[in-house]
Amino acid sequence: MSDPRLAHIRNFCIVAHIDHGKSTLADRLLELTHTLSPQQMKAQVLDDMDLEREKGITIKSHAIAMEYVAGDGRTFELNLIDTPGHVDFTYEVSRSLAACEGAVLVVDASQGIEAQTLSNYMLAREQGLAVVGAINKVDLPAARPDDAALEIEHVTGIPAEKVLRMSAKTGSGVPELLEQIVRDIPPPAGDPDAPLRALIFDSKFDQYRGVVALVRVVDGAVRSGDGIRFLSTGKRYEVTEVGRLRLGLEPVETLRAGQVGYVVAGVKTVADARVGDTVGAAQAEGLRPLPGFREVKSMVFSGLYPMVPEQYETLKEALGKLVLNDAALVWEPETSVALGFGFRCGFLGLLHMEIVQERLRREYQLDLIATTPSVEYHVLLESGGLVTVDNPSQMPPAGDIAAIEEPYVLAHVLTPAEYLGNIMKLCQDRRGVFVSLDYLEEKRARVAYRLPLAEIVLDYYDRLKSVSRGYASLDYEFDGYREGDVVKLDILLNGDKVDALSTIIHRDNAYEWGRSLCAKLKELIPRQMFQVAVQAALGGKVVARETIGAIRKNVTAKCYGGDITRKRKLLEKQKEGKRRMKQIGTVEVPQEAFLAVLKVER
Amino acid sequence: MGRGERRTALGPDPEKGALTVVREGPCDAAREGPCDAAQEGPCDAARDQARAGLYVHVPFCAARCSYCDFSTGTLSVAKLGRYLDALEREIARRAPPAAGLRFTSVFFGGGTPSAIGAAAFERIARVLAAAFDIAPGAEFTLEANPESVRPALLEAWSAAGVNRLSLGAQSFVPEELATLARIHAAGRPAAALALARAHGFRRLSLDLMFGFPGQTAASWDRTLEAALALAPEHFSAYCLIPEAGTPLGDAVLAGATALPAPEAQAEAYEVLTARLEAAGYGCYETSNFCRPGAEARHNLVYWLRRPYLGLGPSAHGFDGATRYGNHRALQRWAAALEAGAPPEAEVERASEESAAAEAMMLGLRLATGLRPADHPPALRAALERRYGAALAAAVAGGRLVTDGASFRIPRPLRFVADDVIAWIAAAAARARVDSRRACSVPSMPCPSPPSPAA
Ligand SMILES: Nc1nc2c(ncn2[C@@H]2O[C@H](COP(=O)(O)OP(=O)(O)O)[C@@H](O)[C@H]2O)c(=O)[nH]1
Ligand code: SF4
Ligand SMILES: [Mg+2]
Repeated sequence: MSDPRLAHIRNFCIVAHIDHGKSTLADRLLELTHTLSPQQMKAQVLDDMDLEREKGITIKSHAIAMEYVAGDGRTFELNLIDTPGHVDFTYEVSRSLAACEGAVLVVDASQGIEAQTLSNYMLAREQGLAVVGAINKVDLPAARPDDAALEIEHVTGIPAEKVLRMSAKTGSGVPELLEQIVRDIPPPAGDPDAPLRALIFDSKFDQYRGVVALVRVVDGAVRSGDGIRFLSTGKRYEVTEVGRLRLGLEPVETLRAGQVGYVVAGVKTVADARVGDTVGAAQAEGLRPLPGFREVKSMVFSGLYPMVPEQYETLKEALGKLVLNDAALVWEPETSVALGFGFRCGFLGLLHMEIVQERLRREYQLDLIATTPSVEYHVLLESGGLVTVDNPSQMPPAGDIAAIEEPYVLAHVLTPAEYLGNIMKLCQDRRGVFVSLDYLEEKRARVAYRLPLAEIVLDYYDRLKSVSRGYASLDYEFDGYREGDVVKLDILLNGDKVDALSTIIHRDNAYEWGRSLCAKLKELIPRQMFQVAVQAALGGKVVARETIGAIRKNVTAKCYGGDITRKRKLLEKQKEGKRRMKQIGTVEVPQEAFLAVLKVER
Repeated sequence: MGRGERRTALGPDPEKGALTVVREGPCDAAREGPCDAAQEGPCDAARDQARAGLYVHVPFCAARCSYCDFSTGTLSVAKLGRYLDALEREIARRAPPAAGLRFTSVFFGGGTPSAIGAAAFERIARVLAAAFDIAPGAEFTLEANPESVRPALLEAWSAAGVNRLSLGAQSFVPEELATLARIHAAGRPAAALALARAHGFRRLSLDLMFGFPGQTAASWDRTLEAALALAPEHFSAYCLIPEAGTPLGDAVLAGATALPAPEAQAEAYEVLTARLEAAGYGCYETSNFCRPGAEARHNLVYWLRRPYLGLGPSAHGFDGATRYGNHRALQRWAAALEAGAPPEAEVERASEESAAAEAMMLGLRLATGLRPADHPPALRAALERRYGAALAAAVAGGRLVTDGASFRIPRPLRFVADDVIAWIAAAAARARVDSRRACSVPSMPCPSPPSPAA
């Protein structure tokens, strides 16, 4: 039961499939509650990272507090948490859900329920959140709001007639949504008089403040000068600032039970203020940590290497800083014969990997080589031991291996029924094992397959989109390890094995894969001084070969009448061009080539 | 003077302020056969005679060739007058600092030096001889276009000490001359050469061009055939560089016309090298070929990174420490001088790094290769420190050959020389960083410093 002192608070999030209009809806809510002045308004104001604006997706969670005067004249404090929508970031959704009492389920009127609508809804229900259903984009000519409402009813049990119709773009229906939020979402539970307990649902690194932990206060209160402790580590700090989350950080005196805000306490790294941890009063005995968070699990691993070795330290620092902002990123130093010193990084998925690389490039001006992504294998040795291998070059010799287990996922694909055949074929091609099929409504199917994670991480999502003309959607969860007949495929350039290009692959696909990979590498590696043999080998046996012919011409004929400076500058340019390639044995390999495996069509 | 060299005259004649003709005999390399890979390239005598160069840029042409991006324009009385006056000012400016320098070569380039009349030429030559210390027997080259070679000019040149002529033939195929917008008739170079010989010129060079749109293996053959028939002492042969802003270059860059494929250009270069070598011309530098001993001393100055002084618009100079480049446009260059201001558009002081990079890149163009011993001790040390490991790696990888004293690009790789040079530069840069990095990684043993070049 909620304390009357918390009756005016509503903490909620918006869950939706990507592009169904979460961010746009958030904009409308900010406008209607006068949280932002018209000058501060810009489209999708919460997506503040450049990358988010470009990709049109939300990467980090965001939160913002609003004041809303309801129809009955009461003033409410609304805390909205905008969440990411891509399959790689399901975890971030779960963190923000745990800070809320309710969720607005937004469904695009022309698309209907998609895989993530569903998986997020399930997460919300698991957290016991009250759900408000809303159909968005009713202004579109292709809108089928009634169908969408029926889908929502089918899935959530919310009666179709109770589902709101709105347009986040035009704003119609949004005032009604606000009313429904304060009516149907309960105020927070929690004890304002108990010792402090707050959940960290996100954390950012701020240049001036250090770690800024975004918290939902569950019990008690926190103010500047308080002693706090992080329950998982036991480390103690003194709070230097607390505040609410507006467009920026807005300091306040006290954050009370039920509220969402931030805490600054001189914490230097997020490792000491882990997302999912509980912040408690320093002096209180026997505090129980708050539940509801899922361990982050890296699904994909890849080596990141600086293009030029002098950027190693910069890369190290940059990763250190990104980790402060990105609890899902893990990294440790590694070395490669081909690439020198670099870092092994774990990512949630390929999009996450792409985003991290892109941020390293943009925010730290780093020039990077990423090695072939890999999942983590369990290798059972003849000797009885077990090693985990997430880097193909670390695969023990074939003779030492008793068996290899690979990670599996349970994948749920939602699709219009007409693409079901294509999708099932795709899953089967990817060694999928059929689990279940049901229909959400007549023309919309939900199919579940058990698939090796390795088959999903590379291009599965893109293929899925293409075989379904973009209509199918995907969510997956980790589903344990199973034995698989996988082998290591090596790439040799002029006879030298290139560790960074090795992949682990199912034996049945190895030949074809080897051929395609060689062909791709031939495309990506420029002609060199000497002919280059590109070979794919399985345990020492060459299974595919391509030859890259030698360059024939690269010479400046004239000496520019003694203009040696000009010639030297030309040389400088060519040199830089070469430095953007890695010298591997006798061959110069451009950075794109290391991701050839992602570019192979199959 | 190297062994085997024979002088026919000594100059300059102090009375006339002119230089007299020098004729060379074969050097060591020549005696052992020009085609022996280990021995080809400029002989010691030629290197020895290439100590310091004096370059004069004459920015006038009768018409602009379709590929040309040099600083040149059409001639007018007014422009010529302004040019000559400004040139005198520049000479007055540059002579005092060059007081200690004895020039072993003079080169009139352009533009078309033969486009200006005898009087203008004589005036420049006179001022030069008075202002600079030009070594007795210095090589004195003048670039001439075949159509402008006439007896009166030849006499004036000869009298002023010109002892070497470089003729822009480019092609002997009429349609190709049209493509290149060369204004001379295909038969004109033969006549010009004969006339020059009749006037006592013994050091003649022909410029040829290949790898341009429309050229075929057969037409290149025709050009080589015709050129060889003229038996000049020296050839320069350039593969076309399509420069933006030139009609031909723009057409190529826009895709309106196509260069021969790189394979065809490489083939043309191979044919060129093979045919010239068979006829007794060694390839002593990527684009230059000559009979034994007939290397252009002036070119060697550039490749050996020795000092040279440049005069005229777009001319470049180097005093051993600083490089400069004059304004390219005649008007700007002249205006600066008229205002008493420096005519340079750019000045660059060499650093140890740039000096070593230059020495490496320039030396490797020569058939005799990069010889650290050619350079002063400080530069030699810098070369070994910065490039020692990279050069050794290039040798190990087959990109270079070495006899211990010099590093050379093997013949089959000459047409990809820039790639070799860039490779070495990149390898040197990597090695520098690696050695620093390896030392900062605690668990790694610190490597011994890169071993210096042999
Ligand atoms: N026509 C129309 N377009 C909308 C509406 N709401 C959002 N959009 C558009 O749909 C796209 C995705 O919206 P966004 O808010 O970024 O979705 P998110 O990925 O769920 O955050 C954007 O181009 C929006 O402009 C709506 O009500 N009507
Ligand atoms: S003659 Fe020489 S300088 Fe004159 S336009 Fe032709 S190429 Fe250019
Ligand atoms: Mg969004």
